Amino acid sequence: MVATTGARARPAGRVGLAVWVIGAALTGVGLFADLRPGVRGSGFGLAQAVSLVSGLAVLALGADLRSGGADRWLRTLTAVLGADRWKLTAVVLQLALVVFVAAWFQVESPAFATRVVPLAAVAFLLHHVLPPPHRLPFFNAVSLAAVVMVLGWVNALWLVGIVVGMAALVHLPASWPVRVLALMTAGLTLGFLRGNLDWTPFSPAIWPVLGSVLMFRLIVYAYDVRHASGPMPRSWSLAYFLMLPNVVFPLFPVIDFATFRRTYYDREPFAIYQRGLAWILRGLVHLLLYRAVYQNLTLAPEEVNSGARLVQYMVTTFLLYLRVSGTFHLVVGLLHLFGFRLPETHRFFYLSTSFTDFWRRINIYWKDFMMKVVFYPVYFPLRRRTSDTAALVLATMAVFLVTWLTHSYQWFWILGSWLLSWTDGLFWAGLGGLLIVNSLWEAKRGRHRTLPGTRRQGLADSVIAGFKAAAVFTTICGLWSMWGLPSLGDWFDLLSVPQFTVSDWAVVLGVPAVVALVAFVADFTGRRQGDVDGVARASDMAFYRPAVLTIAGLLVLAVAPSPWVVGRFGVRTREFAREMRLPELNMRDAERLTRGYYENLQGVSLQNSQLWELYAQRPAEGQDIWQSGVLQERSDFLARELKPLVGVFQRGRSFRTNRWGMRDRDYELAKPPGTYRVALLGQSYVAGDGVSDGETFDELVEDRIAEEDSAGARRVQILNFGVGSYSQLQQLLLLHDRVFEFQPDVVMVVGNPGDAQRLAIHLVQQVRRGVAPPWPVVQDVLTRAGVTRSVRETEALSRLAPFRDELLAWTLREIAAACRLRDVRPVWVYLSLPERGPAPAVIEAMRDTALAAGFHVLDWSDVYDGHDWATLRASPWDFHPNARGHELIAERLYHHLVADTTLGLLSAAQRPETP
Amino acid sequence: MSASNDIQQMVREYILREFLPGVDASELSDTTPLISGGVLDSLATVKLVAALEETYGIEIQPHEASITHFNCVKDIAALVAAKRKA
Repeated sequence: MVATTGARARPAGRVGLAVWVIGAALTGVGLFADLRPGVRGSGFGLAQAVSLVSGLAVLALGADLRSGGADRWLRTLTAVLGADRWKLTAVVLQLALVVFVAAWFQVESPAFATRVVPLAAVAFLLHHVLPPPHRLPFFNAVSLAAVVMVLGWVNALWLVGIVVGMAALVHLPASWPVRVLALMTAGLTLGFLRGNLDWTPFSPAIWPVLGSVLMFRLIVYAYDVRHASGPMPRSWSLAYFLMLPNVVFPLFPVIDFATFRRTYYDREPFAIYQRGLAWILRGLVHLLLYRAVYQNLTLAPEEVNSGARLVQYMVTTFLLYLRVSGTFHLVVGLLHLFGFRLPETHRFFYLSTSFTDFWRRINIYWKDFMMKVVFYPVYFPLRRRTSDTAALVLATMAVFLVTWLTHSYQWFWILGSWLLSWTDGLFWAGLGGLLIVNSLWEAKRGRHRTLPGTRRQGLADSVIAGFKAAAVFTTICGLWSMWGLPSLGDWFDLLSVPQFTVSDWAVVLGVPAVVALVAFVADFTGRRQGDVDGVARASDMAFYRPAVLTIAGLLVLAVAPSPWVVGRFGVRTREFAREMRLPELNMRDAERLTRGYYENLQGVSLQNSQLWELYAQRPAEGQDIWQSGVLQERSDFLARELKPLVGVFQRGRSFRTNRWGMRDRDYELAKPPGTYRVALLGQSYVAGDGVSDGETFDELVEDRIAEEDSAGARRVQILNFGVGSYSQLQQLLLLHDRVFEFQPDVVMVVGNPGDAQRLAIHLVQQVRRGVAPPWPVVQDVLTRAGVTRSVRETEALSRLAPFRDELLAWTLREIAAACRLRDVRPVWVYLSLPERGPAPAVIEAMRDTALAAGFHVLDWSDVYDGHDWATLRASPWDFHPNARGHELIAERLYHHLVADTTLGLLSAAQRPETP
Repeated sequence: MSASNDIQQMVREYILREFLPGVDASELSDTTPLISGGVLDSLATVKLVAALEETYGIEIQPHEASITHFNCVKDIAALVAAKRKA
């Protein structure tokens, strides 16, 4: 008998060794593939990560086979191939659809959509097949692989090293006060480095990730370790801090450590997986709705000029929060796939029936965190010294004070600067005040509660719930609209809408009515309550019904935007479907991003999350070019100009100006005989922000023509008068002040969709600093609009909004007329940054305006066509065209100068031979 | 009836009276999820804690008012019993 067992063990051991070797080989390929010759940098991509985690799973199998632990694999595989096969098939099908939809819509970021999601899908399958004891270490390996895949080896090692080091401080063999002191010292040191160090041995991109991993979870972890009764396995600590999707989400739910451990596989696995998949679908829907709202419905405060638009502003500002709820659903859903049955978040938070209900629904992770580390620790001692009511009020006030401060603290870790604004404080104070009143009311009158899975609401209760939801939604919309504005005064300006017609009132009343109706239906059908405890019944129907619904939902997302479906609709639908696939900034934020280069983060608030995420990626070293001393102030309406003869080197790019204050090579004032001069007027991208000296499109064209016309029969000089964020009013001044002195043959004005707004901003800024525009016509517009020095900027812009197009048209007419008076040809060119442009009709209207003003009009809106915009931008956080972008523009300018005789810039006889 | 059963009975009655008026007593079992089930929110929890402290002369710490000890009648009774024994 013994001999027989031994004989069986030997082949099993040999098979185990063979399997182990295969696993080691796969792991080795994953780890070292990027070290092969010819592979530069971190080549640890999806393929390597999949190879690595597959190798580790096979290694575990080989090790178990060798040590006689094959039985547990047999049990798992029997279940997978037997009773669970259809459930597993359904889960895999859903995951495949999730991978497709995430990639198709480029959900959130390329790193998430095309790397983390596919890795999670593959890892899920391996994880499920693994015997339970291997699962948590395997999850840790997958999380680490994701960190390396997204950040590269060096950054990943720094990140993991710092995280492990900080977590280790919690376990120091010392008293708790000493440990807390050590944690605070280490945290303050990291904070100092975050805020002050321009150079770090790792990419600044890891700061937001590091902040998101440590800033709150370390507190929760220390709290739970302090009060834990049993041992704390290290694998749990690693899983908690480096959990898989965190590396791609700077805004991450503050998952409670005790809950993280307590809910791990505490229900039937497929019930947990299915709940996670349903939430992933919900997250995708939220993110796509967010994208639709963000791209198509949001307004700037200055665009609010009627009651209906006020409602639109308020509601869409609140709806932008869908991005947070969407990402939280994705995060929590993905973690379900690895057995973490975490609580449901953001369930019907737009339909909350009280402020306490809103607080309980919107971000349950934050609510639980605050309850654990602030509310209870403040309330319990206070209650023993004072009344319950006083303790309740003071503890709730403490929660909102801490929430406000930690909000700024969070902002600091993400962006490196503190956010302490009055409106932020007032928002939290307002919400806290409402919550205190609501809590006192509930403490006195009680709150209607039901047991999980039961519903006793009648029709009348649901009608009341509908009205309450409408009231709460309206109030929160109001608070939310204040949150994103710079001051309370701006909020009052926003509310003082000049126009309130009958249709405006219809919208004002209609939106709450719709909310009330939806809340009524959700309440009456029991949808608001939901499966509060994830009761996750073990019956097959409890799995297949949501599985079928989730598959159907994912199929709709996968098929709806396909050309086969979209092609059956009109142009607008096709354009909408195309936009939904672009995770781009909307035009307003793209404009802010460009302006932000000298306005230092103005306009970046918590509500335009896509914008601050881009800012968060900016390297710390040096300022941007417009803040580096290349500009000088002027006291007149021009306000600023480039200094002559300066040279700076910023972010790896050189930027120098000539003696005339142009970002260009040197020219004589007098035009040399036989020279054709083009004067370029425009903004930062015309001045070549984003490229080094010699790489601007005007210099490229000049060089090319000079090279081709080696005999020098006819020279072309393109003088670049571009200055960052110059409005066309400034260009008009510059024209008279300087440009005409250079005797140009052509004045080329480069326009883009932001021109009218930029003009209005400059005008308002000058009026507010007491500089009157030097044109009576413009002064008259200011008078008609009611814009004076004392009017706040947002309000002034709002008042000026109806006159913007009129002002732009007048300015263009002035420029064209001034040119024609001097026999200079005025040319207007539409050229934007490589980003999502306006609708064709908008460009057409701009062209018509320029044409009517007397310009020769060129449309270069297609100059970047056929190229991925990301490859034409200076960096992910800087949309100015890079060297390749300037080459494309140069190609177009060259075409119009040399090849296109219709412009007549060079006659056919004069132009050089081209190959 | 054991001391633990008495505590369970007291907790069940208190929850039914204060937070679930009108709910049939038979629907609230000793293992019905209370915090994760949405019955005990922070306000209800502190109210229940106060009642337990007063009734049994014990002191419950802030970190004990968690889902680990308060998610069902059985766990609450176990915490109270352990504190009384201590």
